[in-house]
Parts: sequence; structure tokens; C-alpha cells
Amino acid sequence: MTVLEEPIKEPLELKNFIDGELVASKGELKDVVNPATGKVVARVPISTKEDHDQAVEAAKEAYPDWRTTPPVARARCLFRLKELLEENFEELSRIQTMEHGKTIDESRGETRRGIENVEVATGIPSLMMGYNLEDIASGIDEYLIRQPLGVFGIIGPFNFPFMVPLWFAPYAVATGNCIVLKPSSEDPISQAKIVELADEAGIPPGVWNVVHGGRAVVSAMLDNSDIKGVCFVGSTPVGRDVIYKRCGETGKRVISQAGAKNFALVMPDADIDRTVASCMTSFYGNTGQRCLANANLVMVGEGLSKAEHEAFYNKVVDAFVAAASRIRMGYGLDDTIQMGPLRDASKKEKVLGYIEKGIEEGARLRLDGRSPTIVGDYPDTCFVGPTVFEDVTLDMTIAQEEIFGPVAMMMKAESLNEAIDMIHTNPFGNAASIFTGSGKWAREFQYRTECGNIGINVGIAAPMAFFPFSGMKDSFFGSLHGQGTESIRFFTESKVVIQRWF
Amino acid sequence: MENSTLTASAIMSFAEKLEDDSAAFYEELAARFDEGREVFLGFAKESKKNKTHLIRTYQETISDALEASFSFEGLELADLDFETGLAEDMGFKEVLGVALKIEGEASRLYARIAEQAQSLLATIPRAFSRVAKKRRARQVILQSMLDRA
Repeated sequence: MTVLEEPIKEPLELKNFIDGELVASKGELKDVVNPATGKVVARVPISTKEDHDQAVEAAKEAYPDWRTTPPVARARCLFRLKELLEENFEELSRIQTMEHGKTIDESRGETRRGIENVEVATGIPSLMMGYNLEDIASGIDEYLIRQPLGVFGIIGPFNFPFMVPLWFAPYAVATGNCIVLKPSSEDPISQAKIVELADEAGIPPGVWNVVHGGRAVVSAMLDNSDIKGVCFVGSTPVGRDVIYKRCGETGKRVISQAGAKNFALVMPDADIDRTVASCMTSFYGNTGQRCLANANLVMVGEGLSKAEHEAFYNKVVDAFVAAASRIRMGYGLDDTIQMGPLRDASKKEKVLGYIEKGIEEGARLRLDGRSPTIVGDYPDTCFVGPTVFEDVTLDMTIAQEEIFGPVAMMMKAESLNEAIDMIHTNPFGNAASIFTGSGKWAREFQYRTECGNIGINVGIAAPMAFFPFSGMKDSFFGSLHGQGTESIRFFTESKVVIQRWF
Repeated sequence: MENSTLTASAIMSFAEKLEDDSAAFYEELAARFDEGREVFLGFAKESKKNKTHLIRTYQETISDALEASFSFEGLELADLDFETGLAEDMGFKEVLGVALKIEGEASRLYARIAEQAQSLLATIPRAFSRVAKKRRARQVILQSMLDRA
């Protein structure tokens, strides 16, 4: 067992990064606490509206020069950023573990996914191309060009502090826009490090700005008429009722990726060992704090008698519980740890509340994660262990609401039809998975399920950077998604030119 | 319940250490014994390359979609424990015997790691298979040296 060295030895005093400089905020400082150790790792400013607006002014100033920088030159800055991110890969990963709590494997995975977005954005000279047609009428040609818009706002979530802002930032900047990025104040260090590397990579002052804080910064961003669009990842109440609504009122473009309650179906022909390994990652990875986490595991009895279905259900649940009960919990820098703590104590309280609710509503608590065994001498302030409920029905709160923690609900459906209908009763539509060896069942599932990210024998249907991060219903608000070519369209306007020469 | 599943990061820490220790082992052999010096230095250099290859493959492949924490069921930390040290007074034949043992254990373990993670960790198992093959190839060379000694 190796506990890797912590890259942060003393608490960092974070500042905003505006116009190429570290700038002290006018707001108060808040502690950033390592949820595994309870130690303060940074202090982050809770910035004011004035701080935010200062960043927007800097972005506006920088925009004309950046907009006229050739795409290939912009791409070269991003190539250099990618190199710097690779050089600092391990340190950046360990910082994520310290500020968020996730395991080192999860942090390294997140670093890789974030870098992939920078890689895709370096293709901007090709990705931003328009198209044309000669002689739409004799002697008259028509063509489409894509142009940037100005300044965009990005609001990052706590659960993937490194990766998620990179679903947007590299594309915004590559297309010639400037950004004001607000990381989560719960774990802001990753973005503080990235922007310094962006500066070192040669991205000019004012193009990539970071303003730390909370509601005041979000409100300022939504109300500022110079912000052309906002990218947000977070909960549905905020994503829909604050971000999407306000952007609609103020004419801003919006990508608002929100909450989820994902189902995974296990068909009778599934490879149970591999399904369970995949489910451990899916249900308990990132301690369940991800919008792609599966929450409801449905054993489908398609073609089985009642007794066979019961036996199949019991076999899968027994294997699931056996694997879940062996998960090692502790500090993520211990490289043998499989699950870290929740981000903070308030999230633990929320998850415990749902566990109580599940018991109250009649579900059977098969694996109780309320008093977990923690490897190493760490306080249990933020730890909840893998939890499994059986006999869960759709009407229960734990089957319907997003828990955002390591709680798995075991359910049954008699047929694939019924299982898909169960998924559709839920207001969310982020992701769903099916485990099967049947192409027919898989195709039907993929065809009919109203969720944006579909996994077939894959527990976490996380799109690669060259695909959009999809989402439907109450999981997504907007028209275009982050990542890939959809984000290029989000960050640019299409201009159509018709020309004739006399 | 006792956990017998290793994480990818634990496996990587082990591989990194094994290749570092192996490089140091062969550099020491090269310093002590003129006969076989070029072979030993070659093995040391290869171990450093193995480490780079394994870490780079892991860093370039690892993502939250892979079953990184749950791919190595049945592997225990104790399985990864073996010696690469040398006593001062060992003769040439003896050290070749130690080297053969290390290469045998290393190649078997790497092959087992690769086998375990098939279909769950994308290109990472292939990297381990490749290093297992290289270390098996060393056994052939070392055996031939032992036969001639």
C-alpha cells in the first residue's frame, strides 16, 4: 500500500486570475477542506459582482485581438497547454484527490478526460470551417462562415473540478471567444492551476479569466449584458429555474447540464461477473457523485418464469452486494483505495437522510453504509460506505430522486418493455445502461430509451471529447451540448454570405 | 469481508517500483561483473523504457468510464511482493540464478495482470502483455549465459 505524497503542503491562498494577473478579491475567504483528512488545503475568495464585472471588462478588451488571431495560432496555444497539462499530469491529479476526495485512479481518469477536450479543440482550423457553393445562380456564390461572439461565462460543478470546465473552455477560446470561468468554491484549486498553465502556454491576458466565488458571481454573470452565453453543470433546480430561465430572459445562449437518476438494466443473458465489476464503477465511482452514475439496477426477467426471474434477481443482487461490501474506503491518495469520501459533511447528511427515507418507505436495507470501515486513521466526517436497498419500487423517494451518493436500489421488471417504461416515468433523461449479449435487446433499448447517454455493457456512458455530452428531459436545458462539434456551433454564429462580382 | 481486488493505481505503483528496482539491480550487476556487462546495461535501459511505456499507456488510457478500481479481482498486495536485492558475496552464476528467478516471477505476474484486466481496461492489458514478453525474452538470454558460465 502506497500513500502518495501530497503536492499541497501548506494551504494555498487562491486569487482570481483576471487579465493575465492574479488579483485579490474584494470578497471574504472561505476554507477549502480535504474531505478525507479534514485539513484545510486552500482558501478561496467568495468574489463580488465587481470582481466578476472586472473580469468581463478584461475579456471584452482582449476579444478584438484574440478574435483576429488566426485559428491555427490559437490552436498552437492549446497544443502548448496540452503539453503543460501532460507534464503536470500527476500533480494535477493528486490535487483533485486532495480537494475533492476522489481516488487517485478517478483523478487521473478525470485529468485524462479534461486533456482530451484540449486535444480536440486544437483541431479548430478544421472544426471551424464553413462551407460553400458556387453558382447558386449563375455568377453568384454562397458560403457560410463561423464567427465567435465575444465573452462567455462558464460555471463549474464540484464533482469534476478539473474536467467539466474543460468541456467548454478550450472550445470557447479556440473559436476566438474570451471566457470568465467560475469554478466550484468547494474545490477550486484545479482551475486555479489550469489557468496559470494556460497563461504559460501563451494564451493572452484577458482571454481566459477565473473568478472564484458563489451566487454573487453567478448572478453577475447572468445579468451582465456583455456575456453572450453561459455554460453550467449542476443540479436541475439551479440549471433549469435559475440558469436556463435567466438566460432565456436575457437572450443569452445556454448549455445547462443538470441532474440525473439513471437506470441500469441487467438482462438474463448478461455476463454477471463483468456486469458487477462495471456496476461497482458505475454505482460507487466518485462515491456516487456523478450525473452518469447508475442508481437503479433493474433485473429484467424477459422470457423467464417467475421462479427463474427470482433466482436471477437473487444471483445478481448477491454478487453485487458481495462486491460492494468489499470496497475499500479511505483517503484517495492511498493507491489501494476504491472509494473516497463524499465532498463534505452536508452531502453526507443528505445521503444519510435518503437512507433513512428508504427504510421508512419500506425498502430493505441489504448493505448498510452508514458506519463504514475506513482504511487508515481518518475522521469519518464525510464518509458513507456502499449502500444497497432491495425490494425498491418505483413510487419510493429513493427510486425517483437524485441522491448523489453511494446508494444502489435493486429493482425488478418482468420484461424489457416494462423496464424501459420504468425509465420513462422518471423526469430525468441523462443516462441509461443495459447489460446483455443480445444485439436485438440492445438495439431496442438504444432506440427507445429517452436518455441522452446510452451504455451497452458499459456502466458509465461517458462520451469521449469528440462526441457531445448529451442529456434529455430534466437533465439538460438548451439546444447544443458541451464537447465536440456541438460546442463549436454553440460558441460561434453562422454567417451566410452571397457574393457577386460585376 | 476481506478485499481481494486491487486498483489500477496500486498495480501501476507496483510496476513502477519493479521496473525501477530491476533497473537498479542490473546496473549493479553491470558494475560488479564485466562478463555480461553489456547485457545487464541493456536490461537496465529496457526496464526504464518499460516503466515509461506502462505509465504512459495508463495515463493516456485511464478514464472514469473504465473499471479501474475493480479490474483485478483475486490479486492481492502480497502477490506483488518479491525481492530484487543482491548479497555482496554472490558469484556470477549465483546472480544469474537470482536474475532468472526475478524475470520468471515478473513475467508471470505481468501476464496475470494482463489476463485479469482483459476487456475492462482498454489498452492497459496489452501494455502489460508486451512487458511480460520482454521479460520472458530476458530469461532466454540469462539461461544461455548461465549455461556458458
